[in-house]
Amino acid sequence: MEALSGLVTGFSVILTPENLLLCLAGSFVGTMIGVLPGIGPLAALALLLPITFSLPPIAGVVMLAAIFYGAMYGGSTTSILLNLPGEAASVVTCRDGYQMAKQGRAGAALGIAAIGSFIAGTLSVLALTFFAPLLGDWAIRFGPPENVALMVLGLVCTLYMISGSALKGLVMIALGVLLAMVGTDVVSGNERFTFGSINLSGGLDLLAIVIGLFGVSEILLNVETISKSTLLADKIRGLFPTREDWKASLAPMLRGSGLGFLLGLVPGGGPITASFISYAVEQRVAKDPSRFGKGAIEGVAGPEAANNAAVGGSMIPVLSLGIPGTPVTALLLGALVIQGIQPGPLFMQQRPDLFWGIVASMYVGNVFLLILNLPLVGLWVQLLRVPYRVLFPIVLMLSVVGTYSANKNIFDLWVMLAFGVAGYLLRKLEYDLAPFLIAFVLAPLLEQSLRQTLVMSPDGIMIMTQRPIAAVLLAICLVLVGLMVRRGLTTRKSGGNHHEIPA
Amino acid sequence: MIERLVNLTWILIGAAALTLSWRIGLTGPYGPDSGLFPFISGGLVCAGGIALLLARSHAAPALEWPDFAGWVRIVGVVGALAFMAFAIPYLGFAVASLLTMIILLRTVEPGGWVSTLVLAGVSVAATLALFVGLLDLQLPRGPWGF
Repeated sequence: MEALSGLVTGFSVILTPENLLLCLAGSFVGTMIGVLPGIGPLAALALLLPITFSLPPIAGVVMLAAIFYGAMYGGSTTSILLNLPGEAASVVTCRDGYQMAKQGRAGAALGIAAIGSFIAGTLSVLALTFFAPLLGDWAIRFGPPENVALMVLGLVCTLYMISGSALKGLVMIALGVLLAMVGTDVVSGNERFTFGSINLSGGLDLLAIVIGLFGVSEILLNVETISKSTLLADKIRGLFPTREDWKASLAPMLRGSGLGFLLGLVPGGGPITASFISYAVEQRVAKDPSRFGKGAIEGVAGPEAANNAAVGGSMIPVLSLGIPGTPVTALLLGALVIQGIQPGPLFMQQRPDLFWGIVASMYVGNVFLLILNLPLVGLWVQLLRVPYRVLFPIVLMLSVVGTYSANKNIFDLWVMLAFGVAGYLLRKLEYDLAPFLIAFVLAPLLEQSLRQTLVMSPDGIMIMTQRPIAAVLLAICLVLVGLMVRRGLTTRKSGGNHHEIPA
Repeated sequence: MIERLVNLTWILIGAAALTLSWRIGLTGPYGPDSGLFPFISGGLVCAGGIALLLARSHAAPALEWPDFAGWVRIVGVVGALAFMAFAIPYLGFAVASLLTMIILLRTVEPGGWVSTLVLAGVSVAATLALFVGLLDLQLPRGPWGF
């Protein structure tokens, strides 16, 4: 019942001409960016963050969320028509989607990808609607000790998100905490690592760091090589699936939706893992697995549904607990912080308009995206013909202006540039940058909550074991760390273990 | 080589953070002082750098750098952004961004001059229309008033 009344609040917030227009604009821009090869949802959000900065919080967040799932939808178009994934979660779609396009069935592949994304997206938002209030009821009992435990859990979950070297990921987390400490300490008034610079006394700007680390570095990686691919888009027809297509795709879509939603909840899961696992599952349950890789429609329907359902799932920990499970939700969390909003246990109680507004915008955004991705597919095909050299300077220019406009400070442009170069170098050296961002966002909150905890406790840090919720959260942290250590030892014993899609 | 330099950078950053945060103070009358968190994180960065330097298994296995043309494009993008950050206070946003766009368009897959100038002009005008016209933001102006 609470979910339904919340949803009514959300729709009353979102169903204004301004918010609907921004949701549509976000869906449109997100799809456009998702369609472009090389710029994924993470870079799209980073680069377009400034556009939302001058908007009211609700409008800004609605637009950002729309950009996010728009980019997820758009990624499949490039995979199917160019054999180049528009974003990482669409890598699997290349396998059968491009083969379908080569066989003259590009329309069916694009249609089933869009419809699958719509069904999965809507199902996952339904699950989010009814699941999030349960977490919210529980989270209302949170005080500073519980917040400390929750932040620690967030950082531990970040360990699961690390791709590649865990040691490099740990260095990124520590560096994120360290750089978050730059500026004036709000509790004592002491300056930390400012070296007398007025530009540093307010700390490093999150927006400049995000745009540099994820946006500028992405562009630097993209301009390394200018590649040309064959566009299979001469005639796109038959976007609406036939009866046979439906029959073959419905079960994979539903399986993908469930799988994607559950994996979205898990830290480190998210759309990429969901799409790969969904593909593997579909191949496993297929009567004739040999069709996979040769244009099987199930190989498009399942993974596309899974990666979009994971978006809804991944929103739950970030909106209900303030714990981002994926790099993109970490960036969304950062965007909310920039807007002056702190998602966490009390977010739903303190800002129900915003929480339910975001949820409602996801329903509306899914409808917009279906409209944008089916009738307007020709427009996206035309966009793929625009040279990259024309598009990237415009995107870069928008991000530069946005970075400057946040604080009207040229210093932020230098910060953006420095983090852009550093991000490029670190990505070449296979550092995962998402843990840095999560640590940078969570560290100040963790420090503040820990200090509050110690001030209110006569027993010092032992208060963490005396409060049931905090104790349980810390116990979960210990279990997770233990499991990770065990997994690391097992992997070392077996000489490494890589997940691959069975051929 | 570059990986070792990066690892050394972590060690130096971590060591500097340890020293500076020690000076700030680690604990006060009510528990942690301003220096504690930076001290812990600085220590972890330093230790991580040492571990990465010693454990070669964490090095990126197949490090591929761009060719000469790729480097020219990368330096062009970085140089254009640096130019913009430097020039905005003196030239204003419109002129600085127009010049930056020209540098960017000429550096990455250069086309003809006419198309470059037209594209640069249109994109700067569109950016100004979006941020100044639509979003009502004030951007720096040059000595000539725009």
